[in-house]
Amino acid sequence: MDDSMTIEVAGERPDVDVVVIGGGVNGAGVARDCTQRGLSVAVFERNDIAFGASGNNSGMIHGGPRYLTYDPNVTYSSCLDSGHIQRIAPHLLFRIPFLMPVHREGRSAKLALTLLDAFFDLYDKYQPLKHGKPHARLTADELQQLEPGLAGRTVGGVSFDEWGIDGVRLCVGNLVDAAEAGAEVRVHTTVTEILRREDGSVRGVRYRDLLTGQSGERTSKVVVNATGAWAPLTAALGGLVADQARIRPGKGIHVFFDRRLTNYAIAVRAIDGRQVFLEPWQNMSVIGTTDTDYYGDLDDVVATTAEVRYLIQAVARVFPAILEARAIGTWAGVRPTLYDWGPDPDGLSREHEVVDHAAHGAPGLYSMIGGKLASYRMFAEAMTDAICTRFGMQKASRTHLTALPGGEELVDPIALAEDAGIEAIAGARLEYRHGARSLRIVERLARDRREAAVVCPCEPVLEAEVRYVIAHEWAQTVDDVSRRTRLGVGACGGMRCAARCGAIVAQMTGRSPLDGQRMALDFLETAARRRMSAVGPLQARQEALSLASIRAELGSTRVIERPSGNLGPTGLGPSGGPAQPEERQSDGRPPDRVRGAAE
Amino acid sequence: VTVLVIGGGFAGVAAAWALARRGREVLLAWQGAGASALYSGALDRQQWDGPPDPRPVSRDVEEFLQTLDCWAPPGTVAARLATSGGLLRPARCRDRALLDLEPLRGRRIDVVDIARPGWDAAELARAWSASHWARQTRTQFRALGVVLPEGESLSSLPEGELAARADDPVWAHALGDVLGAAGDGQAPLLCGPWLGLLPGSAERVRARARRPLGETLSAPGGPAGFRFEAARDTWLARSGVRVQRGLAERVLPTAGGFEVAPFSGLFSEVVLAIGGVVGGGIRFLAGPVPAGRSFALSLAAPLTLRLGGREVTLESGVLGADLQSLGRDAIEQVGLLVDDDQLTQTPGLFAAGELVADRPRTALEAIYAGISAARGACRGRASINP
Repeated sequence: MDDSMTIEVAGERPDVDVVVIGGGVNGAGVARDCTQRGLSVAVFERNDIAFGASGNNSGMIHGGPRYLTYDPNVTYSSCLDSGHIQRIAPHLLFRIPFLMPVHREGRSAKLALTLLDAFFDLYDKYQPLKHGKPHARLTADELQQLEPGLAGRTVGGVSFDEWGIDGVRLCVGNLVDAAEAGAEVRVHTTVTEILRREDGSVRGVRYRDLLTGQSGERTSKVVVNATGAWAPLTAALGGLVADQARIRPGKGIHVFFDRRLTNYAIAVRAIDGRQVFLEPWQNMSVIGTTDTDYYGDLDDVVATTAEVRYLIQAVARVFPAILEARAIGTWAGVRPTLYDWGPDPDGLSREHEVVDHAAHGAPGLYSMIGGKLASYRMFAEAMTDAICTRFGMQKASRTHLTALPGGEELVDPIALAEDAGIEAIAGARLEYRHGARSLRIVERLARDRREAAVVCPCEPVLEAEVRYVIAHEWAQTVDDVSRRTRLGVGACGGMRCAARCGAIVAQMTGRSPLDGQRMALDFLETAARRRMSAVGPLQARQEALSLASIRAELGSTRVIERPSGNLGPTGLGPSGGPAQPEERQSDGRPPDRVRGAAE
Repeated sequence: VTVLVIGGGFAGVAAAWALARRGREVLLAWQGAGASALYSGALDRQQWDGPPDPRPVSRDVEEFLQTLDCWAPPGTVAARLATSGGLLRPARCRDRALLDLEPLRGRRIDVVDIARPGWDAAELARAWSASHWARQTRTQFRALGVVLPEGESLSSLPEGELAARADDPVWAHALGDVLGAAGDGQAPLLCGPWLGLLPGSAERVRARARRPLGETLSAPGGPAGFRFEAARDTWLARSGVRVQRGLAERVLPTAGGFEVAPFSGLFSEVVLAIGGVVGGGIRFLAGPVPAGRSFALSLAAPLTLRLGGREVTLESGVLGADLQSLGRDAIEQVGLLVDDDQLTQTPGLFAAGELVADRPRTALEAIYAGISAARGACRGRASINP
């Protein structure tokens, strides 16, 4: 009766059982599992939900055939959980059929195809787990028929089946479910310290809201470090050394195009033999991905031109039309792979690991290391099991049985659009993102018909959805809305919607119209910066036009002041922030627009 | 001896106007629409969000603005225009259909509130009222519910189609009556870019409504660009300037003048006003084709583009230009080097508008440049100093 348990019971009743740091898929999954098992939870996310790798990946919960030869456990668990996710969030999944052509190179091409065929025979054993179709061996003609854009002489190829998903929506769904079961969710709120008692045990966290500047404490019995690539940094907030929550950060980039270029995803080999792909994804095509060690700023990961060209070159060899396609942006994330010195990044394990820092003198602190999107739920279950064991609870996870918000029932998007009096495409996109919850969004239209207005014509996104994600999904900036709804992601790069979205966000979050304009500019600037590495001849005219049009409407993006301190992704300081354009010009600072190649 | 002007935007039309006024024979050739057709309705010589421009508008530019019957004469003070981004921004000059708030400072402005996608009058009124200029001048904005003629059916019309309605005199009268009676019948009215695709339509509505009334700035592709094009075409029809549609492919200097494919004839001088990256006069090159350069002119001519003070020469990346390293601004800075007469490095060959390096990509700058090029072309051949 003289240990820390006594203190907990007698002295301090913690605010919550579990504090989760990180609003990515692992953090969101743990929050949901914990609330389902009756634990009270608070989640803190420094940037936004799915800001890191969870929202910047290939958008697939694939079974990982890549891992089959050296890590079959990963393939098994990925396939199994892919099936579970399909059951709990059917609206979020879409089938991505793959083609893998085998080119007539060298004398062993035919043999290679036979080996590939045999390999996928093996993979087929896992397909039922995720309701996938078995592979098919295809002749060269069949390949050409399925995807006429394929170039080069092949000996044939195989088809196989994967599932696509919007990782952001998956994270949001998990957190909404957790919140509806009582969890506290705070975004744009960084943990500044993991609080520990004299005996080393964890007693909670100190946090700071990066938008308001407010800080506070949340005491808890357990703290879960679910911060992905940030894990070592987070562990350091609790006085641990980086080695104790070590990962090997692997950067992966994707380039996206203004439309769906193919009906099938195509798996190709890059110049170094790596497997990369072109996939139709939602309403666009995406190519990916790279895997390189990354030691830069995790809050600002941007694809480089060199990485973009590596991918385009690889895809062009098999699908030359990619060279004429219009790339409209890139995204980049950092995988938190298990630490290992030596192997090249592709060879690193995608397994995950729960680290109990009791071993490092910090009982109550756990780090989730590694993992991948497809097995997030299992990882969360393992983490929650460890917490329950600590608390002496014997409740099993049910996260694979209960539907995520919106996944309870299927909604017919066409009927939804007709009933709501909106375009069928708007209805379909809405239904994809929100499932049955889309009914709640169109309910808003009955109350105020004006919310049927299309804010983002590219996607399209209705005003009702913008307002809904602000009210119910913690969106607090234009960037947040974009992440949840894909607003401003299309071909115009936000030129036609950012200002309007900024006004809505500012109005709904009680901020000034000026804040809204600033948020819009910040969003546009960030999006433009992410696009630069992929801009080709077709997109260049759009870039020039949007520069001119944004300047006409909002003023130059280049004169936005950025706070020097560590203040959230929006640059909205607590003390009023930068001045508005009319005021900006009077301070005599020349706008920085004569930066050229000579510099 | 004919001068060929290539480009039907602000710069090209201003050049053609100035040449015609000097008694030169002009052929104006263009194909498609560029940045001018996409402009917002505001004219500035420098970027509006930079330091204020102290230079008065010159006499000849003022005359040009009057000749093309779509702009308000530039006042001594800058106009103040409302943007749909919620800003009140200065502009040296403006399309006549736009509401200049400067003379209305201190008053209450009613914002026409109709159901339109993207037009949230209450929110815009709030944003404009909160802006620095409005607070300083105690100007207030308020949403005012109005039912337009044909009401509901208009809410689903695309912006351009709604604006086109006002070109119909009958509808314009009905609109003027509704707007005239709205609210107290006195306060100035600010509406979206809905007052016609032709110059003059807004005035008809305004005359009927008998109160200050006008539009916000246009988005790209909005009515302001249409009104410029309509004003241009009206002027061209009575100007005596010959017009030919077609895409210039090659400018070849010969002993007797310039040959310009595909246009027949020999031209004593050529004014290139083919636009920058937006207009298509300058192309950004990237991709696997070993184009060698980052930017190129859209036509063959003995000219070299410049960027950041240097010639655009061989790009060192094997896959072409890289905007990440060049910087996004490069697409607005690249262009031809010219002297005060807009003369390029080739005698007799002039450039104006967004084709010129390191000049602001603004409407008034393009007009100035077009008129200067005309002046240069009339001055006789001279070579640029390298």
